[in-house]
Amino acid sequence: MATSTSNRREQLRRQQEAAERQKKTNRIIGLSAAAVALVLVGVLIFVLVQNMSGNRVGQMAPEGSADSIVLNSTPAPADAPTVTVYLDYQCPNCRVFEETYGDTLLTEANAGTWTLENKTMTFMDNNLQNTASTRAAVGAACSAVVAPETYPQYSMTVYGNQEAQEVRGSEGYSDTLLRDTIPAQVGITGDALTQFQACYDNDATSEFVTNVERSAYSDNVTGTPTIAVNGTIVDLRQLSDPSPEGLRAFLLANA
Amino acid sequence: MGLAARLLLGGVLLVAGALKLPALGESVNAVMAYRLLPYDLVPVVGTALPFVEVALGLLLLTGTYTRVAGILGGLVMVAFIIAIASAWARGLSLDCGCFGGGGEISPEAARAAYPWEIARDVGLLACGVWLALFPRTRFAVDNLRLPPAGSDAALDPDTADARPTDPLTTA
Repeated sequence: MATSTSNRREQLRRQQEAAERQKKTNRIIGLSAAAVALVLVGVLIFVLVQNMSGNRVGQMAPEGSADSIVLNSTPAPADAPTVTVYLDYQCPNCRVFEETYGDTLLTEANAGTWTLENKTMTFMDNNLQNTASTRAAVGAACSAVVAPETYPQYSMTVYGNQEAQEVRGSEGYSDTLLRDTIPAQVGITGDALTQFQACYDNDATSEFVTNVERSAYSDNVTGTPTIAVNGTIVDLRQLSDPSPEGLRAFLLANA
Repeated sequence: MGLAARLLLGGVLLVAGALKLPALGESVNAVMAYRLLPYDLVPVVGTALPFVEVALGLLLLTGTYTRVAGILGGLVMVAFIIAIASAWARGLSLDCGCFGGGGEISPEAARAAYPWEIARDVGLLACGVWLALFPRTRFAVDNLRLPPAGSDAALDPDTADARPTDPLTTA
């Protein structure tokens, strides 16, 4: 009887010890998992907060469209088609495209053949881990707000300064280039220059740039350069005659 | 079998997540290329996904909370399968961005890759389902955390005593 009781006591004690050990182990595992999770969540939140654009005061947008920049010096006839160019200032193929076809697209727009609009995207920032696409888009939009007649040339001049190599983590277009050099080259001076630089410094077109990016997303544009005629994306691989005249005919055939 | 499922699913998730972490922007673009989520959710999902993959990968490799991690890993695979199948069905030509990269590629390359990507994710989904059904595996942290499963208990008198079903009253 006594043996049985001490056995039970012994058993009970071991049981309690085991339960205690188990609790300790569980606590260690739980705490480690929680610590790792906390670190991951912390880093994630840090990254997300960093990516959120800060100041949204005094926002401005070019006239004419909420999600694109129209290049026509005078509006094209109402029945003229709309040609939309989706671009990213850090995209090498966009530079080649604009250098080859930009003049023709603009000349025809000003002749009333079509309405030409640019939708400037900024996804190359994600690829190259910099902010040059966004800053160039903001600068170009500022030129369209402050001095619309200078926008086409501002845009082409940005391309002219594109780096030959895409280098991840490089600065890309410098603030000095976008804020001082190019405006001087395209003839933004005096009051207009002051307004332009205030616009650039305050990121005043950043909301517009986001709107454009959003609309490109809903237009199902997955890369640049992409061309749409009357809102329908055209397949540039079917362009049989790659001359500027060939592109003109191709776009009108798709209208 | 359970151990293999754990190491496979966990290893793939960990590697996939770790490769994306140094280039979170690319991960955002990869998610963007699928054109599935509302615009404002894209950066959140694109940024969070690598972290989730690494977390689940670590849990599975160490065998911690295996059942939950297996279920979540399986759900992630279901999401990937849906995303890839829908890109395929919509005629998009995407690099799946599974291990970094992502974005548009040639239609031929994309069409050639889709079936394999889906097959791989179905295989990994099977691992997740297996772990959800049979979460007890060898060499797992869970074995320290939980009382031994099944007959193992009888072989280990020390911990067998700790089992609540121990017939104390029979003495």
